[in-house]
Amino acid sequence: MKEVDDILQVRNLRTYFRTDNGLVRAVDRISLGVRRGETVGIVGESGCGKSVTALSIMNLVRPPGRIVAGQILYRSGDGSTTDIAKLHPNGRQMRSLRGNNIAMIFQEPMTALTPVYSIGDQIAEGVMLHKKLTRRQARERAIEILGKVGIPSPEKRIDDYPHQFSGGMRQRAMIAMALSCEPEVVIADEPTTALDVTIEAQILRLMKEMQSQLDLSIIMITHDLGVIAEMADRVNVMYTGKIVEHAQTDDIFYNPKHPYTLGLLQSIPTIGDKRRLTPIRGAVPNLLTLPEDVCYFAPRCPYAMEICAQAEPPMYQVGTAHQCKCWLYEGNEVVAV
Amino acid sequence: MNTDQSLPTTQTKHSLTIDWEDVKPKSSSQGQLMFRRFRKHKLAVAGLVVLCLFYAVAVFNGFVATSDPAKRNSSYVYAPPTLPRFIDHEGNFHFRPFVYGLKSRIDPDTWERVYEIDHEKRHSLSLFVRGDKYRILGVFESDLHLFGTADGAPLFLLGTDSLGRDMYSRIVAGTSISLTIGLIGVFLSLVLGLLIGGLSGLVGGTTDLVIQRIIEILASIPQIPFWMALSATVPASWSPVQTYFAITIVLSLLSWTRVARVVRGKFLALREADFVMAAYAMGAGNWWVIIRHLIPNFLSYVLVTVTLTIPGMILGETSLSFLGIGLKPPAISWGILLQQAQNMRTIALRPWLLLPGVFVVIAVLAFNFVGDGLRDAADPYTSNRF
Amino acid sequence: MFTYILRRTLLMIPTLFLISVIAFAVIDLPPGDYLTSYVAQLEAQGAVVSEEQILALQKRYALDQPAHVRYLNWIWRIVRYGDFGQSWNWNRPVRELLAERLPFTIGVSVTTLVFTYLAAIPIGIYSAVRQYSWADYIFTTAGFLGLAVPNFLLALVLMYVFYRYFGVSIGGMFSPEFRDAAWSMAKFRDLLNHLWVPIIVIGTSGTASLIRTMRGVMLDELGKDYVQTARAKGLSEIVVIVRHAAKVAVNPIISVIGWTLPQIISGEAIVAIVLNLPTTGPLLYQSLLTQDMYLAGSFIFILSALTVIGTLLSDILLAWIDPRIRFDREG
Repeated sequence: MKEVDDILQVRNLRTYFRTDNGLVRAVDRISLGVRRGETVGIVGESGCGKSVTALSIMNLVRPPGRIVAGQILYRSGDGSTTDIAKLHPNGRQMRSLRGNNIAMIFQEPMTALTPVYSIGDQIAEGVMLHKKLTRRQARERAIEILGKVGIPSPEKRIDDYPHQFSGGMRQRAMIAMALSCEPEVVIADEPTTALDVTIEAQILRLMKEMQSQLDLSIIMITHDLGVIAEMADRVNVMYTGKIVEHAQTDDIFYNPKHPYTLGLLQSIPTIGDKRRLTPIRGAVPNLLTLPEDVCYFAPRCPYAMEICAQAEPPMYQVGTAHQCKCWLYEGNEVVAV
Repeated sequence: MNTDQSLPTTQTKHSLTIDWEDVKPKSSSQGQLMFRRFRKHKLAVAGLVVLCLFYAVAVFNGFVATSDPAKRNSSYVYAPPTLPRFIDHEGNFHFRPFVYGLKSRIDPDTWERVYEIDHEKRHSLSLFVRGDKYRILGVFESDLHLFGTADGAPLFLLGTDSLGRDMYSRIVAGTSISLTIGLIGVFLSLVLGLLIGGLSGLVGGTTDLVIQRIIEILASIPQIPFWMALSATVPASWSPVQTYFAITIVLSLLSWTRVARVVRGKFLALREADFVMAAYAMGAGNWWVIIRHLIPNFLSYVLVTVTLTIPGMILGETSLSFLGIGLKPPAISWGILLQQAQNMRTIALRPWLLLPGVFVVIAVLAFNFVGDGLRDAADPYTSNRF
Repeated sequence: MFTYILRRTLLMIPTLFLISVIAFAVIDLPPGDYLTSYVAQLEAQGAVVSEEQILALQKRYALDQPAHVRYLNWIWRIVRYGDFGQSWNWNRPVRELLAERLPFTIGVSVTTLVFTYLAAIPIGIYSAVRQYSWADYIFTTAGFLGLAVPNFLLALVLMYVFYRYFGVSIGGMFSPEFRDAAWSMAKFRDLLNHLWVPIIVIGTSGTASLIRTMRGVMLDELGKDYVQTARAKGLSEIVVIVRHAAKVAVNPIISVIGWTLPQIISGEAIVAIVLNLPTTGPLLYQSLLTQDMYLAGSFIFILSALTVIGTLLSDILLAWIDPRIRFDREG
């Protein structure tokens, strides 16, 4: 991973949850980089740690979860670098980054907006805080940004409450809220999962437009390979808290290396393809019952070998900008992270 | 998307030590889950222990008491509590607990009886002594008591009342009425609640609407004045048993609404619940769904509601009897015992007359803890996520 | 909003009707003839009761008619003339007695309600935010205790403690010198000096249960997505809690006024008897002991009606502050 133009760089991040039943390593030693203006995808089944990764970058992991190790380096426009993992989650410095430099779009537009405030108030709240605008100016800004994300007659809808908006409109409002302070990085956590397909396409198109207008970097978190294909420049495949494969989007689809990635690809239907779908057998294992230092995919893996149950594979360099964490590629160069 | 390239195949046979079955989380039945979660709630377990103890006392009250609760001791009117001790006034330790006797004299100015500890008389306590006769459950006659003075001297652990009756024995005797009135009352509420709530949930439509309105109205009536009014209409000439049942009915007249609301709500929710739909979809019959899915789910919630309704009834009985419009002497309940504590002067001079209240508080606390524990346990899936 | 209020007010009519039926049942239920006891009472006082007077009374209460006619007669006199009947124990119209006592009942109840909410909301929020902290444990324990102690017992214990350790006798609403005095600043101050005892005694159980509800709702709300959204905007934790989570959590708390109010009025009745307050409680008690049923029935009716009206007001308040309800019910 080159570091030169990375605006955000996650190194060896570990976010653990201390529960009554034991320690859950929700995010376990992951590294990834995001360049200015690009979209990086994180894909995986539910429960694989995608959302915890997003929350870690926002430093919004709540107890009993905690970032226990690693770095989250944010390089802002003026060239200064901040390690988010070191900041106090509720500290002034972290709060001034949140929403202002790094913003987030949540999965459920139905529940992610406070029900008792109007859409306009909720957008203006962040703007007033970060941009030091007056109430009136913030309202102007909210109307402007609502218009930009395609809300018709925004000067009227601004006083509506979330329950008066449809799901797609709410997600547009969420995007407007995220973009209202002109952030450099936007983390979108399953932004279209709760929406139907036609709306999904509109929202994705909107995000692309906004990206080119504002030179945004986007981290797109999803379980949907279709969304990845549509949006991402590079992809990280995540499984049980670890990144198992990282490559250019095309390489993921046409030249997948990790058995898990292959499994994911084989389990999605393709129009015109008459063959049976092959699901990945088994289910995501319970992180609590698994021993450390093995390959967690081994029990479900058709290519599993002795060594998979004995040691955790390192990340191998398997092509240009293509890494894979699997013993099948033993002998390739090991990537240091 | 082209997904049919193959990965490099080296060795492919599975000779793995990790077996998929090990990884699967263990499944447990609803009852087991409930029990396990209930056990985790320490206060609830403590509450359950206390309640078991209290109800044991309620049944065997004659055995636990030290004397006949109705026995008057004219020479020990308003005697203060004499607590058992191990160390005498000279500082010697005695292996057996003992109490000192009481000396009394009449204060020449106030004409009040004044008590002093008589260090001359030491009565040691022992287990299983013979004393006043009593009946257990009205059938088995006995004169064996759990403990008492070895020499048969009167023992007033918690003092005496205006007629020189032993407060400890009276509180123990009051346990039966105070604790059962809640149980019987809640049973009546349960029957009414199940019938009316079930009807409301089952029939729906206008019936449901009317029943819901009635429940709302009954819930808006201030309980105590209503209870007061109804129990005041119980004729004074009725026997204690008749009064007891009349009060029970009065108490359950407002309380069934809570059960009915839970029953109806659960009924409607469960009818639409995904897992019930799933059971039907898998070809399960009506009865199967009701027995396997609805009733277990249902019972846990009803049990919680019932447990949390009892304390209100205990408090209701206590309040009414305290005011003198509930049960009446010679019946003994904690509320009746508290009647003597109605005026300021008595309390100031004889604070031990408030002690029955302590037992009310303990019983109500125990029920609330158990109810709380059951409520947490009834929902084993909700708060188990990280 | 207007249609909502109108609809709710109209819905109140059947409720009041049912309550009046229940109250009338209380009047009509005791065995024995109201008139006979009344006449006996009058004659005991040395009055000579003529046949015409008895007939007039019989007519006034429709005593020779079946129950439903008696009910209609009773309710008609209330609606038409504000005549709640006669208290033979006091030998005064019930209306006068109501007018004397009711303002105090309303005053004490409303003050207690306000106190309950002012205490419970911040404590509930604090307990939820600092879940499992020592303060949370203390409030939880105190809450359980508050629910378990019957309020008359709390009143007795307070009376004992104050008498024993401070030599003060608490109780009543005024000091003797102000009891019959006209209203003045000094009398008002004296009232405040006395008022806190009943407020605490009556309010404790309500506050305890409200803290538990507030804590529960708040914990629910704090787990919701919009709280994370608010944090993701860069708002400080206190703003997130107060302006977002608490604002949403307060709504269901306001909606439980519907059952907090009956609790308070109910508790007020018994505490007033113990503390000897000039409210409706002691009068209701006496009227029940002496079978003065028109007085008792009217109290039950008025107290329940007050509760229903209070609930209605709280629902309107809720609709006013919660946009979801406002729009749902209008549309």
